[in-house]
Amino acid sequence: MLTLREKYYDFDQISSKVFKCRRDDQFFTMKIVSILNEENQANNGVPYWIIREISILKELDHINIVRLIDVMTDGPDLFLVFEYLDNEFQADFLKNPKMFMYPQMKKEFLYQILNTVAYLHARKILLRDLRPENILVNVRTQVLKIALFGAARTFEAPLEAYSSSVGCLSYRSPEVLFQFGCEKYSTPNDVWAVGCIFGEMLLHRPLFSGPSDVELLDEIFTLLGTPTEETWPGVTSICGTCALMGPPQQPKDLAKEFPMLNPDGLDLLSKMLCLCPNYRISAEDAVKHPYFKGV
Amino acid sequence: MPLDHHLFLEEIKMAHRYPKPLLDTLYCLKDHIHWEEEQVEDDEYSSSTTTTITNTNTDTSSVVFLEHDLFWDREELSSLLAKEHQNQLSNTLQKNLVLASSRQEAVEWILKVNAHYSFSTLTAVLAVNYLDRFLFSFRFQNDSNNNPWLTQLAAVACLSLAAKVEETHVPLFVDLQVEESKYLFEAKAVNRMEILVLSALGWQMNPVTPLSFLDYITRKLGLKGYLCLEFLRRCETVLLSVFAGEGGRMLQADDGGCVWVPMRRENDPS
Repeated sequence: MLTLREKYYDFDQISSKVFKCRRDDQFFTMKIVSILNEENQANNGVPYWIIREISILKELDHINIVRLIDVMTDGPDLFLVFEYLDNEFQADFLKNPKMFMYPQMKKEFLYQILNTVAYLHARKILLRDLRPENILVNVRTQVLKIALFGAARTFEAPLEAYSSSVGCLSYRSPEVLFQFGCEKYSTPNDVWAVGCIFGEMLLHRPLFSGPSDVELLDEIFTLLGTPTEETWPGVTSICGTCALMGPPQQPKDLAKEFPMLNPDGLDLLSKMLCLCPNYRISAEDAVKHPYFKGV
Repeated sequence: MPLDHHLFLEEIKMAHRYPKPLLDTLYCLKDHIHWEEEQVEDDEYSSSTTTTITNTNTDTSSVVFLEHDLFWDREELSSLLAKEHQNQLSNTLQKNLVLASSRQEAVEWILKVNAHYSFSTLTAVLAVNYLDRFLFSFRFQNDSNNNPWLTQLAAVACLSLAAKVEETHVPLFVDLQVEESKYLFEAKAVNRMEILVLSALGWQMNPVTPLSFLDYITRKLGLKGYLCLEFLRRCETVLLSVFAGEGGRMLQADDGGCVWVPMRRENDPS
């Protein structure tokens, strides 16, 4: 087996632990992860989160997912070799000004995100942390890439079941916010995140941005109405304390909140942002929604 | 035709080893699986590039499917079938009795530790899968004659890796080696073996297993709540007994389909 430096060469540093490198006439991005530091060695070897994430990434093959091509070890370090994305791919796609110049581009990118989520869900893989920072776009070719190891989250740190970062909270579904610290995620949570991204594309700002669970839930209920047993069967047993519900609020008219959106778009958005996870549209159904006719 | 012949011989062997009830339980629906496969291949939505993550856990709070989770349908089955590959270790074991013996000891050890810590059935299935793939990839034939401890070290690493993939709590290396064994390995050695195994398996640590199919079939049957738990528990018991009962038997992933019709009959409320 070839060693790392025999297989790859022409290393060019991008950031502290990320390099561009080459093999034959192809470029790759290499990311270094330390796994055998003293703490790991003294305790329990390769951390579980590294095994789980690499194992999943290794098996994915989809045009809209940044591909993990190779994994190599060299002493205490792990080298992850990803496909290389050139300068045309820009991270945090919602900050790209061209996103707002061509309305059709939003629809195209939304479709690609949903198609990717449907692909993952068909394989029983949950994203759990989908947000604009993890999405790169090439506006010339109109190709979008999701980096499952987001730039905003360092690989060295263990995954927390629940991140307290403000950015992450904005895309949490109500059922997750209700069950603080709960790890019982399921597919509707990812669809909710896509709905938030859809809304953000339209408004040019995060749909929900409260700094805490309680404030975030209040923003959600202000827009979509406070859930009831009728709109969300079982919600009172899920809701940890009545305080999280706040005073009852009526849903706002989405057509007035999103005047730029046509009826099909409003229908899709409302179904992705359905409060009840069981009633929320699936990614598989969402990609077939009339809103995407012609894409 | 050769495959059918092989399966027939397998059934003869089973008939000699187990009382009738277990044989009935293991009634084989291989043809049924193939029929399903043909159906899927005709479907325009079939995908040839697929992967599957399996998580069959009999903990009550985990076996509460949202309606969305009940509709992973055709693409999921085609995903499982496409990902499965033939296990070729059987032939190797037939030619190397020393390796077969140390493998059997390793499997028995894995099952005992699995039971000791009340790990899930999937953890045991994964650990044995890793061990078999590792032994095959490294063609341990020659080494094992001189170093039977290497297979045991691989078993410790494989169980540790399986627990990391599947369990919420993983014991330390030293605590993991709780059952009697001829050898006790220090953390450093298990650490290095873990990396060796991961590299040898290409970091593909979520293979298709019999439980992948059981998970799919259970949801297709629409079983929920207690019925689902009981169904899964019985299927898992059968699978583990196959592991433990027949030394050297390679458990193919779609053997999961063999155990479900009699179970279904028993669980039918009508």
